[in-house]
Amino acid sequence: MVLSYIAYRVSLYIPTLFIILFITFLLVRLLPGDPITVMYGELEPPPEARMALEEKLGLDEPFIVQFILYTYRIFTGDWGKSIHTGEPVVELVIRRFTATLELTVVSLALASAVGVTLAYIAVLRPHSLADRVIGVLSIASYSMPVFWWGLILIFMFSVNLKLLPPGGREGLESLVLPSLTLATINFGLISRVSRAAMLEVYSQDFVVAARARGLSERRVVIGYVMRNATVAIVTLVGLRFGILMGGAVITETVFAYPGVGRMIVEGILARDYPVVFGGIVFVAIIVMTVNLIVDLLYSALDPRARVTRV
Amino acid sequence: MSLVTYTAITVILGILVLAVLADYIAPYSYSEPDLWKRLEPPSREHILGTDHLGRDILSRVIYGTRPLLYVIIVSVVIAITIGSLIGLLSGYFGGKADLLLSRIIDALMSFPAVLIALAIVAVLGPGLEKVVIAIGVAEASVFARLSRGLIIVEKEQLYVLASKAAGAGSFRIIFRHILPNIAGPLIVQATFTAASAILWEAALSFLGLGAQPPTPSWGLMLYEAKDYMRTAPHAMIFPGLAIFATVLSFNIVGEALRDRMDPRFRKIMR
Repeated sequence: MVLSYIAYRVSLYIPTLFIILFITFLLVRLLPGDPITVMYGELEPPPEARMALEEKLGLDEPFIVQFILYTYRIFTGDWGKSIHTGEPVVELVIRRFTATLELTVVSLALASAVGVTLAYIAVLRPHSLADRVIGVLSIASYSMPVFWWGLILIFMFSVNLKLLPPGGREGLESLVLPSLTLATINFGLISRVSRAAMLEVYSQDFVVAARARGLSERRVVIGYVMRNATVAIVTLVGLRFGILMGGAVITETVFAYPGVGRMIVEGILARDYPVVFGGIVFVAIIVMTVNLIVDLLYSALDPRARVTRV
Repeated sequence: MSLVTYTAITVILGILVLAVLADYIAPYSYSEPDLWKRLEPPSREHILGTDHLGRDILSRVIYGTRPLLYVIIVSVVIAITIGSLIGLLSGYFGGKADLLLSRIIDALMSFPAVLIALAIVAVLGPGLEKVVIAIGVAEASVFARLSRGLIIVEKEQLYVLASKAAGAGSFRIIFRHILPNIAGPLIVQATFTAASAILWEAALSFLGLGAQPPTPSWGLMLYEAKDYMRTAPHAMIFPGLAIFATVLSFNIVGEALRDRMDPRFRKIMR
């Protein structure tokens, strides 16, 4: 049962991976302007040089051949080199990925701590004033234009108070503002989902029984309600993690933070195909893998979820 | 309904009024530069101050409701049309096509949508008309998944069997019988999509890929103001607040609508 479920989930993973490879390939090929023209800038490249480069980059092969070659290279770890700097894309992606990973882990930890605490306060007295204020705060969290909030934080903490650097990635201080920014727009969703998950458990028999045994409300919520709501919270945080891995583009841009998202934007602007390709595929694989792990974790924690989905 | 919801509805109605009556309400032109009055802080003459070209920020925020409505309407229509068409057909007929389409939707959804939108804008070039296409396509997968889930539940209902028995064709059943019954959740989702469309447009304009000057897009205003943050923070604060308040209002109305929805559908949404 468990094994067949894992097999089922993994069998869904593989075709999705190929679709992603194909879509990214298609999208990047559709970009206007070929990389050789971009490399030469205003100058017209000599025809011989152009042909040599086309051959070197594999741009002279037919479309389908390019795609097959590309897929083959992805799986053998040969992700090509940046057209501009000549650095192998795999190394570039990994270097940038470490930066994004740091940012994501710190900001999600912060967002989860705030989100779950708020949900806990809200659930202690559902529909009270506190609950409603927390509800609006949470919606406000994901309604925030992230770049604006980032700029406001820069204005307050680096321009006015001169406490923290406005960007870059040097030391721990430079991590504070970007992760505060990302935590602000993420705690709301976490708090809403946690509250809903906790409320769902709230009225169940084992909770009523615990309360009947005379346990304090705090112990009921922490020991029984929260524990059972953990599955939903872990799932959400896992999914957010995946999204932030590549979706922190704007935060990374505001703070000039050298992460994967910003690398992809720079790649698009410079028509650096291998970098864009490598970045997007890498992010997609990470997101899909995280989703798969979250799903499997979910079914391990809660056997009811192991029913094959429609 | 709570006070919060009423406030949110008022904000949205206010935006409609501003967009229609901008010519009468706005105290100044949104595009006429006045280089003698660059980056002035809020005063009696210019309640929200002026921007880097001396244009009145209040007037630009008021006129900004027009590109805002354009973005909301066009991108939501694109998303809902593409998405629900795929979702409805795929969910109704099932089979191999459904399996393939579901994989494609899964693949698209495991992409951070910002990358899809960025890639599309990179292909089409910058500009508001292109941004709405990018947003529409990037958000279509949400409607595809939602409408597929809805129709899978709905097609087992008695009235569908009845119209099948009466000899109605698939096309008629899907669009005449089922669609009106599942329109509620789709409209609720459209409210949320409107909220994210505003954020998208602002973000893309902020990256310099969206609206082009002198369009009074709120995102573009932020993009232009960020270089003068040290000397004129007001130029960045007010357009940002406008975006924030609008997105918040759409999300609050969406939540309120969802809470009143048929409980049968509530599980499918999220």
